[in-house]
Amino acid sequence: MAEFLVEQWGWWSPLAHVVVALIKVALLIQVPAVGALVFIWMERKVSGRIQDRLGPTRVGGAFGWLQSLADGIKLIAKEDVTPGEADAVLFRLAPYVAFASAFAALMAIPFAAHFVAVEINVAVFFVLAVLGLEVFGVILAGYASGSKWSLFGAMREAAQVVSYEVPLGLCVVIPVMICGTMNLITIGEMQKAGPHAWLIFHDPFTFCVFWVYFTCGVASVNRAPFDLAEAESELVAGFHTEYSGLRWSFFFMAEYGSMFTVCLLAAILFFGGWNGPIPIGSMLGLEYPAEVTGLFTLGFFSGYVGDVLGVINLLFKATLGMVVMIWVRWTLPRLRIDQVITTCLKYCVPLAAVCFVGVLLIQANVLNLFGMLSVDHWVDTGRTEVREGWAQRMLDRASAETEEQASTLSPSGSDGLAGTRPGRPTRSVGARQTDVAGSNRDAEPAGNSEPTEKYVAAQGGER
Amino acid sequence: MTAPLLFAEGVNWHTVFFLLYALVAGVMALAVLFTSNIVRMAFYLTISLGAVSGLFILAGAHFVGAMQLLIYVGGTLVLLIFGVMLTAQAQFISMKTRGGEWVLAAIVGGSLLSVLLATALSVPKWRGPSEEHQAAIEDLDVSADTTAIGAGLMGLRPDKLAQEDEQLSRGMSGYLLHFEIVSVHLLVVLIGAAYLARARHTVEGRAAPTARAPLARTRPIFATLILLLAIAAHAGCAAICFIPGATFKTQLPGVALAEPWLWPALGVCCALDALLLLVILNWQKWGFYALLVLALLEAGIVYGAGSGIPAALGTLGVAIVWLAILRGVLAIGGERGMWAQME
Repeated sequence: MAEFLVEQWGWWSPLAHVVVALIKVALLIQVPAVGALVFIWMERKVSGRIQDRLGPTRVGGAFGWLQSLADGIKLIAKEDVTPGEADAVLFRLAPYVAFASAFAALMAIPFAAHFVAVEINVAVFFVLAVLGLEVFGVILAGYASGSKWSLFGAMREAAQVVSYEVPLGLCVVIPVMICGTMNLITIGEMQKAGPHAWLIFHDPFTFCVFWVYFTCGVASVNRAPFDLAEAESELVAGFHTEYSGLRWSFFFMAEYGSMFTVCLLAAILFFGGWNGPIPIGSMLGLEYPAEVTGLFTLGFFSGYVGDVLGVINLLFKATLGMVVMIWVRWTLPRLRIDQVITTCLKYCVPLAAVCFVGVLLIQANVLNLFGMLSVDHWVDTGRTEVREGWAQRMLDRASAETEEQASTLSPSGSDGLAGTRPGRPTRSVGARQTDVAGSNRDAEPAGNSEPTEKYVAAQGGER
Repeated sequence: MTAPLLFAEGVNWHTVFFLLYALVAGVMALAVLFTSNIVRMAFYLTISLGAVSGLFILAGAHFVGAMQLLIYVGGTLVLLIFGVMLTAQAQFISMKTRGGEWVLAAIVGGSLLSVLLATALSVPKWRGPSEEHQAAIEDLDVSADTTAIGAGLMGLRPDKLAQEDEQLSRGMSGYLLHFEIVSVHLLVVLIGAAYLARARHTVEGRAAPTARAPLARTRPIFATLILLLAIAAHAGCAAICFIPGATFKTQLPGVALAEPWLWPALGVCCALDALLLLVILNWQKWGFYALLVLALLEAGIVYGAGSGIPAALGTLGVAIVWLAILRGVLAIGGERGMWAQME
C-alpha cells in the first residue's frame, strides 16, 4: 500500500509509510473499541432475553443500541481513583498492558485474503504468544491494587490461563498440521472451496477438537463459566475491584477484544475464515488476478470488493462465536477452581492429545476409515492448489530455471539431456519440494521438468 | 558509504524503529538494575524483553520474535511473578544490594560485555552497513522470514543442499535429531517437576497398600482349561502363520490380493494373543482389554494388507464373538469367579 502511494501518487516515502501505518492502526483499533461497544450491548440484550427481561430499550431508539456509548460517556466522567495502598505506577500501567496485548494480537490476524495489517508467516504462533500476555496486565493489576480480593483474582486467573494454554496450543496445532503452514492467510485460502473444505469437517477428530478449542478459548479469555478471576459472589470483582472510570473500561475492552480474537482464530482455523459457505466472490470474479472473466469486470477494484465480502463473512462468523460465548455465560453456573483445573487437565488435554494423534494418523494415511478419509478425498477441496508464498516463489524459480536450461540445451541437440544437467539446482529443488509440500501431496509445478518427475517419484515412494 | 543510515533516503524507518526498540530495551534493563521493588523489576524486565522481541520482528525473524514473546515474556515472567507473589514477604519485596554485591556484579557483567563487544567488533562486515554488504544480501535473494530455521528444525537444511558430495550431504540433514532430543529432555523435566510437586501426604482412612496380604485365589477348572486351550491354539496359529508354504493360506477369500507381509504380521498378533492370555491366567485384568485392542489391530492389519472390507469385518466379528465367550467363561462362579478376583 505504501509502495502504491509512493509509486503511483508520488508521495514522499516516509510520509506514505506513516500514513499507511496510521490507517491500519485506526482500522484495527475499531475491533476492540467499537467491538466492545457492540458486544456489550449485545451481551445485555441476550442476557436480558435469557433471563426473561428486555435489556436496554431506550437509549438511542428502539433497541437501546446506544446504551454502551452512554455507559462509556458515564465512565469517562467518573473519578479515577488510586487506592492509598496501591503501587501507583504499576496500578496505572496495568490496564494498558492488558489492552495492548489484546490489541496487538489483532495485528497478525487476516480479515480477508489481502486484508491484514502485518503479514507474518507464523501468524498462528504470534497470535497465541501475544494473547497469552494479557494475563500479565491482570497479574499486575491484582498485585498493584494492594487489595486481597484483587490478588486472589489475579492468582486464579494466572493459574487458569497458564494451564489452559496447553490444550489451546494442542488444538491449534491440529489445523496447522493439516495445512502444513502457520500462515493464517494460507490456512484460510486452503478452505476456499466451500463448507466441505472447512477444516472442522475434515475428519471426525477435527470436529471434536473444535469444541475443545472453543472451551479452552472461553477459559483462556476468562469468560463464564470460567470467570473465577472476577467471581463477584466471592471476590467482589476480582482483579479490577479497585479500578474505576476509564481504566476499568480498558480491562473491559481488553476482555472483549481477546474474546473476539479467539473467535476470529476459530473462524479462520476451523470455519473457512473469510470464505463463505458459497464461494460467491470467486463465482462473480471478485478476485485479484488481473485477467478477470467473471460477471463484473471491475478490474483492479474487484479484488477489493471480494475482500470486503470476505471481511463481512469473517466478522459474521466470529460474531456467531461471540453469541455462543454470551449464551454459555448466561446459561451455565460458574465452576469452582478445582473443577476448572480438572476440566483442563483431565478432559481438555487428553481429548486434544487423542485428536492430535488421530489427525496425525489420518495425515499419514494410516487411518482412513475404509477410504472415506483417504488422501484422494481431499483433492476436490482444492487445498492442494494453495501454496504458501515462499513455496510458490521457490516453485516459480525452479520452473524458470528449468525453462532456462531447456532453452540453452535445445539448440545443442538431444544427446544426454540428463547427463549435461547440472546437479545442483535439480537436487535442491527436488528435495525442497518433497519436504516443503507437506500437505500439498498432489502439488505439481508448472512444466514437465526433471524436478517435477523427481518430486513425483519421491511422493510416490512416500505413499 | 558510511553516512548515517538514518538519513540515507529521507528517513529510514527500519533504523528509526531499531533505535526506538533498542533504547526501550536498554533503558528498561537499566531500570531493572536500579529498582529495588522486585515486582517492578519483573515489569521492567518484561518491557525490556518485549522490546528485544520487537527487534527480532523488525529484522524479519517473526518466528524468533514470537518465540521470545512466548518463552521469555509469557512463560518465564509469569513464573517469576508466581514466585514473587508466593514468597512476597516484606524482606523480599524490596531488595537492598550492598556495595560488595555491586562490585561482584560489575566484574561478572563487565567481563561478559567485554567478550561480547570484542566478538561483535572482530568481524569487519558487522562494523556498519556498506554498499557491497547490501548488494550481497540482495544477491542472496533470501526472503525476510525464518523459513530456513523451521525447515532446519524439521530435518532439512536449504542452505546446505548445494553439497554435491553424497557422503558429506548426509551430515547436512538439519537439526531434527537435536530438536527431538531437546523435546524429550523437556518432557523428562516436566515429568520430574510433576513428580516433585505431587502431594506427599497420605489421605487418612486409606490404608497403605503394602500391608495387605495376597488372598488365596481359586479358579474354576473349566476356565483354566479354556484358557490353556486358547493359549495353545493361538501359539499354533502363530506358528502356522510363519510357515512359508502352508497351502490353506492361499485358499482363504481375498488372500490372493493381500500384501506379502500379512501373514508375518498376523503371526505376531497371534503370538501376542497367546501372551495376553497368559497375562489373564496370571490374574491381570488388563490382559483382557489388551486383547480387545489387539482384535481391532488385527482387523486393521487384514484391511490394510488389501484383503478387503468383508475379510476385515469377518476377522473383527470372529474376534469379538470369541472375546465375548472368554468374558463369559471368566465370569463363571460369580463372586468367586475369576473376573471378580482379578486385579
